[in-house]
Amino acid sequence: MKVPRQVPLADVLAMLDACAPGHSRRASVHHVVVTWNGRTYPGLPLGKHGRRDQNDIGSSQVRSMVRHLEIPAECAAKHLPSMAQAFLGK
Amino acid sequence: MNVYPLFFNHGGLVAGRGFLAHVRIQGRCLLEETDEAFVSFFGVNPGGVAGQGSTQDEARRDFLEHLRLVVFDFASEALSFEHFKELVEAFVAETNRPSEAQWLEAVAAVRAGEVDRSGYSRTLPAEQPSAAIVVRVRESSPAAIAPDMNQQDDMRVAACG
Repeated sequence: MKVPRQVPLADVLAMLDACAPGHSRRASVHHVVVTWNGRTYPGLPLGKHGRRDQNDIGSSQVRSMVRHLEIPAECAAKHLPSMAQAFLGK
Repeated sequence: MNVYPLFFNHGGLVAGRGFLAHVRIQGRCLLEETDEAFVSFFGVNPGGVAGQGSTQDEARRDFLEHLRLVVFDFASEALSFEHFKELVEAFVAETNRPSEAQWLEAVAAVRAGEVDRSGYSRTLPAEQPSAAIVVRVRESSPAAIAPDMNQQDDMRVAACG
């Protein structure tokens, strides 16, 4: 399965805005903590050196978060098209 | 694409605001050989963490590092040892349900002999996930710290028979 190793954190946050309406997120020391649908994903990396503008984060973390929060796969694929194959299992 | 259902052991000392804790987590995770030279680890219990790398060793280290850092985040935020213990226990208990479904499918594949278990020779019965998912958080004083708190990380394939 072809999946990018890294994706821009800014794109992931935009996907959350579109696909997880009403979610909350905050920065901890090492991660972005995302809560939605009664569930919490505390392990989304902040980016290199703890900075959100040091963009890229591991795509496996994004896949894990989409699964854990039960974000609709079709919406995630639409807003992160480079990862569509991973989200949709095609 | 090979997928391995694993149990893992991870722990160590954690410093919080005015407390020292010994944390031990025995949980479940899923190893996926996603692509050529790309391996992913997905947490099942706890479900809120993952890792990746070019090899299984690299991905395993990344997964355990993120797990360790999430616990450190809890220690930074907790106002007391009791609060920290609640955060860690809730984190481990929150199951990644889609990953759990894949984990159970992978257990069936291991039992059917469809998965190469070389490198993960020890196994645990997969029917004991509730017993195998363990989180122990104990407050420690400097006088109580002893070498038996040192713990090597461990991963085992889930299946039996």
